[in-house]
Amino acid sequence: MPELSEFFGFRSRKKVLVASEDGLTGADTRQGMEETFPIGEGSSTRRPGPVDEGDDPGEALSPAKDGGTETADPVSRTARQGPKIAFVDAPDRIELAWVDGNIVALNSAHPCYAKTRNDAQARRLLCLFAIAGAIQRFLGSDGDEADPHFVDRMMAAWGAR
Amino acid sequence: MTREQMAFVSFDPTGKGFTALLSMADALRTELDMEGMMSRAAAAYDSAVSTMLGVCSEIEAFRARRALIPARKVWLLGDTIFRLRNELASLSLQMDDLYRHLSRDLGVKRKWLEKVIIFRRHVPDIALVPVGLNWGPCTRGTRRVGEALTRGHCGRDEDVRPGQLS
Repeated sequence: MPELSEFFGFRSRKKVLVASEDGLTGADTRQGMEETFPIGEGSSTRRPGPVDEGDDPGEALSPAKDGGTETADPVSRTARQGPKIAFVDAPDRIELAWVDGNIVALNSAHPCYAKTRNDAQARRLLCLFAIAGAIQRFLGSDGDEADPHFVDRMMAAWGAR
Repeated sequence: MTREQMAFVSFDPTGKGFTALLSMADALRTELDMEGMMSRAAAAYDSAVSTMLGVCSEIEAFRARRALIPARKVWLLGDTIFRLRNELASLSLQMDDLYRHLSRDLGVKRKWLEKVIIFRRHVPDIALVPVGLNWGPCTRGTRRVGEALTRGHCGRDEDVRPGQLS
């Protein structure tokens, strides 16, 4: 679903630094890393490849302002990005879904969700709508710029696939 | 279904078990019953982690009393990982960073886990692991040890001597 992938920026092509003795870029080692993947692949069974700066434990190379302690070369990689979804049994909450950090939690105890249990297509549509609604509310919180048409645009992108 | 087509799943501990998390990209792509798939995945991971923690505590008990660790115990751990992988694959899922998950939930080092998985990968049947074989010699050149066991070069208990397999 490329329209929606672009919507959320699921994968992005980026240059990450890889240590190289004859590299032309000065780099420093920083704490915090994020795994990246070869362009066009995403296997989880291989060793981590070149890493980018991120929030996971580990070290990554960062471009240095003043020469740096190492030399490196940039390599083109993709990074898995974007939010994840989880189902949460929360009968005490009124929301169909909500954003919690990087996760969109879908309320599987919501009476509306329960009504779609026997209709896979209806449930799927409800999940998408709930996700879109949660993100739309999130975009308007914390001083972020609100996007009152997010649901409309996301559902349009899904409908156009 | 190829591995490229399988959705990536990860698991967060909740205190009472694990919650399965699916990337938004995969969630929007799949035509399957997401909730059912994710709850079965979480149950499979929870069960596998319980089994593996049991094996790990047995291994730890050997270490604590300075006894040699039977290679079969380690094989069992690796086999549980393989069975988990197969169970997730039957749900069209694959784990997003297996080593990160298991290091976190079993409290073991990634490097050690790598050897466990290499050993199991090259020894498909526990019957190929002699009862008297200790894990120590298998930690050096783990792949070669596994291949030797599978070829039957060290098939009998009396064939196994410390250092012979390294």
